[in-house]
Amino acid sequence: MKKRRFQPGAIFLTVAMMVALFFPAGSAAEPVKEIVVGNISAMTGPTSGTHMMCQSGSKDYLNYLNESKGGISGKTGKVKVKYLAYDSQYVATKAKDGFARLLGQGMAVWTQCASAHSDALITDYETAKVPLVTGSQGISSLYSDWAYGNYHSGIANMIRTWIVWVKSDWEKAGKPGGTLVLGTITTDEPYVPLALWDIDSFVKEQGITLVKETFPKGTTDASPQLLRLKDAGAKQIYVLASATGAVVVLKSAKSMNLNIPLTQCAAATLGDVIALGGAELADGYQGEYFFEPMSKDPKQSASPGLKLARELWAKNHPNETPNDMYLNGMLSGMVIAEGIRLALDTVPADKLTGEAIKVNGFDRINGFDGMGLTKPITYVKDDHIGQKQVRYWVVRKGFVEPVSDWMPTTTFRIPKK
Amino acid sequence: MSKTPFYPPSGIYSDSYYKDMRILKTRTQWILSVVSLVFLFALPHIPFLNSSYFLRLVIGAGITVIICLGLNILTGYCGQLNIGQSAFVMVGAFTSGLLNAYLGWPFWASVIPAGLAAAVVGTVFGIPSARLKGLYLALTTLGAQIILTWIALFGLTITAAGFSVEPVKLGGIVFNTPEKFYYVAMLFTVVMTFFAKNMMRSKLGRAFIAIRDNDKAAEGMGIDIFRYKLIAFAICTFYAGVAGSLLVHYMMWAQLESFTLQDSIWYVVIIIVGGLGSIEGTIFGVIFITGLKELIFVIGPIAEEKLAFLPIGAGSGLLLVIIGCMAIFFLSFEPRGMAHRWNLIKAYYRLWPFGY
Repeated sequence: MKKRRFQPGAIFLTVAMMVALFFPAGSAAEPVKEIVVGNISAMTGPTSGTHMMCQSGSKDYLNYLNESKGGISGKTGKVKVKYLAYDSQYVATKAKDGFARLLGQGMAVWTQCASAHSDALITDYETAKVPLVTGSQGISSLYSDWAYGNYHSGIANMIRTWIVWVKSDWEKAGKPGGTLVLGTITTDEPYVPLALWDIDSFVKEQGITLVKETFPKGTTDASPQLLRLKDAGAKQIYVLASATGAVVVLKSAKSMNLNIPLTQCAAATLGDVIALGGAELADGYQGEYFFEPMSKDPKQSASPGLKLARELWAKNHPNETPNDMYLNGMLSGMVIAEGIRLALDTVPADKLTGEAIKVNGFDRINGFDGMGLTKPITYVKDDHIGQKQVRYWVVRKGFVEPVSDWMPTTTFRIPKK
Repeated sequence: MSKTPFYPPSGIYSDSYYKDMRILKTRTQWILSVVSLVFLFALPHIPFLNSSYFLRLVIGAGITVIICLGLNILTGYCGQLNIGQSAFVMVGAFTSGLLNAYLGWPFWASVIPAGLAAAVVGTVFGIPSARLKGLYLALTTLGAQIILTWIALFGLTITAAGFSVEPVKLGGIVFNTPEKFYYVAMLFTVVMTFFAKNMMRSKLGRAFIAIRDNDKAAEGMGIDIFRYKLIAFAICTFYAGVAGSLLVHYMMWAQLESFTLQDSIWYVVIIIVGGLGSIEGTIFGVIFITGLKELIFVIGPIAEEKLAFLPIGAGSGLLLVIIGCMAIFFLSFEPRGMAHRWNLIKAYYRLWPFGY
């Protein structure tokens, strides 16, 4: 029998295996832990355009952190984000299915831009202890301890804040006409009654007159409604409609040479109206933003947040037109990253649950402005609304420019049933 | 029960009217039915099938089966097209939800009133069926969808805003998880399927079929067409109302945006794909469309990721394209739906090996 020869290679291999077994590699070689961030949005259906923009914003930002920074780092370690999305078709039951699926895939935080989902899933995310970061809070979720907003303080505050702004300018101008008459023109979409919730009490409180007109969704002419508002002496008109509805109002206003300033509600941003109706039609149209808009002239100075948003858009969607909702989603991504970062300061990566991120992360967010993209966001107990300042902008030559300084929003909350 | 063999019986022979009318005619059918019921009962405890997500899909499918059974009774059996079924689901949902939220009525007390409220509203919208048929009648049901949505939007602000609804409770058990609610959903699905199947074998069902096939001939046979059409509308919308009640107590949330025209169109597609005028077809249609949707949920995002030229949302948008194509395919090549294929398979099995 042939005598076996001494094999140094075999011994080295054995020693190496034993070392690997008993002395695991240090943290530098450890795989970075993944945190699952879920997104439940209508990727199909009538609201898909808005929702997909919002989803792309948060996804692109969190992917950017993974790729350029290797993930999110805190004092105790680092995590990468695994972003999983589910198509709800804007159907609440599907959204619930999606929540269950993503929960099964280890979701620790979730995000979206639909107030209906924020409210319909409230029992699910509170029970599962998975915090929500949203660009659109519903009536019930405004009261939830597990929902964190970044966009606006409830839909009912959009028109209220506008009234305060217009009234303030009117008072500065010496109250011309003696009485301030304002108008609203709204479609019959489901969010409209919420936006106008108990508005009559507010109008009475403010000592002004508000004339309300409605035009059916899908109509192509809003001239009769605008004419009635003009005859009622409205100084300014607030448009509560989607971008399509806004274009109908603008076309009707143009056809009748109406020179009353029109303001778009935040439900559809000015960028959409410019894209849909064209720069000429949208010229002079006003709107409100809770962040620095994507539709701002690229030649103007921009915050680091907006610059980054433009870079991410150019990289990920080179052949598409940017949309302001992208920033809404990106802000959600930024808030999520900030929450995880803060939580990682006190909780090790392997102990990072939804509850740990909420308590040690989101609840500690204070003065966070998303790289200058928005005004400071601070979450305190019983108030997860986020930032409470708004700025009004006007369309000029296809871009938007500010017509007001940042001003505080009203903080009305529709009573929770 | 006759001593029917377990192996293919090469045809089924009935030597009395009673035997001919039985739903389950062979021992094989009995065994399969019992096995199916045991399987349904045990599903939440079967490994790999008892995930919360899967159970939610089954619950959703069960509720959709109830909605589509009602629709198939009206459209498939009685021949009255209804493209506003979702609005009647909404009537049941809000009735049950509001009774619970404002009067504290539990699910068990509000489910029948929800069905009845939907049936009353459905009967009112069914009145034009006395004079209208086909596309014209379909437009009146479309009107129902628009009118009822408008009422929910502007009539009661709480229905537009949304409100919380309590989960189903029975004694000390709270059915607030998919694992628990599954049993409530399946109970209603099985019982209402059984009722529908029996109803269609009765005088009522035969009157519906006669009206669908030739209303003048049916009238000649002494069938009060208007009365039976209204009954069909009432049954259809009663089913929708009960499903609506189940839905809001399952969701623990009620809101207008859950009941859209698109949903109504889906329900029509489901019964076309499954088979008009077939109880089994309704179940096949729901299972097929639910499965297809899930398949596209998986394929859509992957397609979008791999195919860079696709714009945002295009991969997921495949769902609507494929389901639209599916409806066209079935209408063109298999207008009798999956139920017809199923009947052919059953006939082949019974007659095998004799192919005549």
